[in-house]
Amino acid sequence: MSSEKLADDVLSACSCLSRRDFLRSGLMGLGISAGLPSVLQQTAWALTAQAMDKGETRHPNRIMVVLELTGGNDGLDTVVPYGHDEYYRARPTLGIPRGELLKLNDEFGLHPQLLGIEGLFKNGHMAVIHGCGYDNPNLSHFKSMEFWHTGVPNGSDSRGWVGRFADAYRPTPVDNLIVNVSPQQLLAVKSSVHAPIVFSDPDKFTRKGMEEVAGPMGDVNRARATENPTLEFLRGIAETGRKSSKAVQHACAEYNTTVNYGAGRSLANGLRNIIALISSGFEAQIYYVNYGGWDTHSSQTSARRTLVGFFDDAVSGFWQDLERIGRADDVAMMIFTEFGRRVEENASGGTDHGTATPMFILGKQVRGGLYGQHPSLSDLDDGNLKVTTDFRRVYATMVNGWMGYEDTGSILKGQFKPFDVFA
Amino acid sequence: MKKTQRLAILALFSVCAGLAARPMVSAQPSLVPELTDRAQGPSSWAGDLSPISTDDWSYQRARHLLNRAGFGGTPEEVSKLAAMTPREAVEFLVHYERVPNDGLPEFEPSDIWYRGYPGRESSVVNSIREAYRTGTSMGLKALGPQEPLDMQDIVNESYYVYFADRYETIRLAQWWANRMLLSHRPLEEKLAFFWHGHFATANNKAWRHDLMKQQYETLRDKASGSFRDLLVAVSQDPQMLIWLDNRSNTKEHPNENYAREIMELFCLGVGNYTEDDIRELARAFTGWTLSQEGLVGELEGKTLLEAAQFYDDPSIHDDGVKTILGRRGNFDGYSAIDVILSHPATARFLSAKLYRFFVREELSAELHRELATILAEGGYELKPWLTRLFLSRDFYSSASFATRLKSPVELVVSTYRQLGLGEVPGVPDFRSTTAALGQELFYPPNVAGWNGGRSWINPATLFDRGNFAHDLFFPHAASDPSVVYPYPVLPGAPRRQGKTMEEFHVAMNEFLEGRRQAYLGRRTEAPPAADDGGQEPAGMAGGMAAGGMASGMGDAVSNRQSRYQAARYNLGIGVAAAMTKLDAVVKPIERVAAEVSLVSLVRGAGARDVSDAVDALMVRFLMVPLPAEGRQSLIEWMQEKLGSDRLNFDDQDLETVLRRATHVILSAPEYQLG
Repeated sequence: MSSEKLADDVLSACSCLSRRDFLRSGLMGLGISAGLPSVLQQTAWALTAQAMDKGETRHPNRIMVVLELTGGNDGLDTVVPYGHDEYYRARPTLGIPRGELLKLNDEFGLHPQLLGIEGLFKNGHMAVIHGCGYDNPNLSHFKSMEFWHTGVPNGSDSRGWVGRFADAYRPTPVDNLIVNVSPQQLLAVKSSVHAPIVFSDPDKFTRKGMEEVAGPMGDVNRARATENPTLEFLRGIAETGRKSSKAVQHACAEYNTTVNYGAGRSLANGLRNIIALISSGFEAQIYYVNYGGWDTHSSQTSARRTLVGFFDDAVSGFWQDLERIGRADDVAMMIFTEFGRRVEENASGGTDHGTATPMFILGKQVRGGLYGQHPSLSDLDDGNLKVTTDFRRVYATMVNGWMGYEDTGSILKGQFKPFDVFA
Repeated sequence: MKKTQRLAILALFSVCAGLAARPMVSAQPSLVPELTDRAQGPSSWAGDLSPISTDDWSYQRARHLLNRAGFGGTPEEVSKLAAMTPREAVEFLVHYERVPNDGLPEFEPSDIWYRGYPGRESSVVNSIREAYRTGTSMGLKALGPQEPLDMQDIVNESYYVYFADRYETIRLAQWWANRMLLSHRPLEEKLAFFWHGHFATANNKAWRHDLMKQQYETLRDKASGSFRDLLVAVSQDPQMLIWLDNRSNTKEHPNENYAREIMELFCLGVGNYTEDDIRELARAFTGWTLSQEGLVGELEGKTLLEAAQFYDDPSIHDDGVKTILGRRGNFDGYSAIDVILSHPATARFLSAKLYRFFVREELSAELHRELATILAEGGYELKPWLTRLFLSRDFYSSASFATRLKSPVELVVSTYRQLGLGEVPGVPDFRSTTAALGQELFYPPNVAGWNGGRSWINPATLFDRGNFAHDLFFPHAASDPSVVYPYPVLPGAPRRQGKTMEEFHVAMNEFLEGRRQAYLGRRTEAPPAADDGGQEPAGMAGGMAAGGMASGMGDAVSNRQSRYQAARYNLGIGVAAAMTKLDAVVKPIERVAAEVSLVSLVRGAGARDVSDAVDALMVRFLMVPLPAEGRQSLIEWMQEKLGSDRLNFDDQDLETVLRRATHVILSAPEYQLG
């Protein structure tokens, strides 16, 4: 039986729902996808996407993953400008010796722990965009992160840039469009149309004491029409939660993989759970995950050895696993941090808050290589790198180049030229 | 409302909810009237500021008033308002200064700065730097690099100053929550809460809970007088002077932070001023600073609080001519505030913000104009404006009634008020509950305050709102101490109780020295034993700074080698030592669960069978009924659990079953509306 035929048979068995409704709720919602071989789950997913999106979006099966490194990752210790003596002069104890670096070319090398990422780069699956930031940089974690979240540097917005993109991309509410793997919802994904799924531990993305009162709890938390608009909104969220809680828990609990994501628990689990959802046929097209600990003011060599290693294990595990489930062509990942660190090391063997920092785009459809201009290491602004790339150009690259949404100006509140990163 | 209209609405609801099939609570006086009886007013009332008449007054409308102008209440409290005329009820709430407010608990500070406030203004990292540079920081000496961990005491103390203030602020929030719960002047606390979100100041810059308390008291005491008085007081408030940097706004080096925010976020709103206006306004505010001692230096016989107060310093004031919002003059802070208040955008901005907080999100242009005019023409006196609002037909119209989402703090406090609790329970923990839902008192996310409205709700927070109800009624599940103290406390530390501060200090120092020696002893063993992880604090070693308080720090621990490379200090030990010390010094929040008897609650409401009980719980907690199928499902579930339709008040399981049912009701979308 062909997969399409099977899906149709399942559909006709569900006379209570229209085909579109069925597809919208997804096989997951009916709790039958677990029994299907994964190839059929993918078919079901593709059918869902086609039925929902025909003519509405350009790349209905594409997925965008945003990985936030919270705390200010040291860009100069990530993509090391080893070809410049100024780097070694500014970093007499922290500078990574040339021989230890994973060289990208004659000028730049990766931190020695980025072995997996180096492989992605060598295979042409990673774009490095130099010198990202914004004018008049703010060195407060909170402020700067807020600017990256809203995409409005030195201004404010009640929605995040991802949320505004989602609202423009799918102007009517869609179940489970955005997943935020985080203990609390981040400003970046705040949308006025869509309710993001927010969880870090899938086992806690649920109601306590549910087993005792499952019947009535489900019955009071259904979508129902009402003339009270706030109540209608709440019921819609309740319905989303009721459905997605089961789907999320089930997908994460049932997922088995042979891929090792390393020992950096929060990121390893977060990325593994994203793969579990993708593999289960979950509808989300936007995943947002954050990973903290990058605020290395002291003794950063040892701290970063661990942290960068965890990061590399988890990210390269993610791509290996995507390949394994056959979805690597459908995913692109953008990696950012709220600022880089000062050029000069401090007296505690660490680095303080800085400005410009590289961003990364990973994916099989990426045209790998180095983009943008690396900031000068001698022409500094009060000891900090001068920003050469407005970070919103990279956002525009994801929104337009990857997701195929062309009117980036309305989302990013200005015209930002995308990089030619996607083939 | 006309009788026929009322019947029509009733009929409509009875179809929807199956409520009117039978009297709600048979043979019971009107303590618990029907949920839908003269509840929302007609939609034609929307936008109408004329006052409702005494004939329009009802129990449900009194309840609506108490929800919005306060944090809700028990049926007894609602009945008291319902027995008044609407004007009397509104004036009773608005002119709260006439209501005695005795018997509220005082805040009892912990003696966290018993060594004297060390005047830290920066961070753990800066203390370390200072110690490297000068050999001294936090009033403590580093012994020199030849001595292993010689800066450990400095690091310990630096973390202690951070964390002790953090926990004292948590206690302060608990104290305020108790005032919200117990105050006889609900609107006073509600307004203070509104202004806290408006002049949003977080205590993560000053790290001074005492100044935070002072700001709260200022917001509360000036909450409903003239907005001008409030604005002047806030502009001179020490926390605000620190938070938005006006204390360092001088003629020589102007700082525009406060000038920008008073225009953008406190008064005018974006689009009503230029960057030039900001620069000129900043000049007017120069000189409004903190007293010379500020946050550092000698106290000279003053208390800590006295040492950090507003001071108008003429020597740093720019007394040249400024042009602000098109007006020229030699403005100072006072006259600049008058210029801002005379701009028509201020009345518009403020009336919309107040309206959205107290009534609903949607505000028509016409009503907006009217409200702004009343506010401006009334000289920004808030009591008359609020009286007009709370009496208006618009306030009781269907567009306003049960269409507002309770904020997390409102949700938790109003739940306790509706239950008639005598204090905010320690389980579930108030801070972690409200923080998980997105709102922590004294820590708004930024100067723009909480977004509010629909942004409170996503699937996870909706679950967590229900989970709060679960933890309230089944408290053992929430008594995990890690919720209260997210950082590790070293086992075996001396306790504060039964010792003088001197004795405690000696014992604590001995204990920490013992830990240091034990650590140094193990450091020489290489590689370290694999199983010692349980003893060491779960922080990272010598690695990250105070910013590592954010998530993800646990991961770094597993690099076991690096833990033993720390030389002059170890941040992980610092965190644990600080936590251990403050655990002994900061007065505990008693971890006592709520005293609730739902059996007496439904019994008191005259319930006899299961559907009576469900209805009694619904009228107690909800503003709009559950959908009929939801109500039916709950009734059937209870009947099955109890094995009977009649309530047997001797049944030991009845309380548990009622708690589960209430957990469901409080998890419903309807319960989020206030």
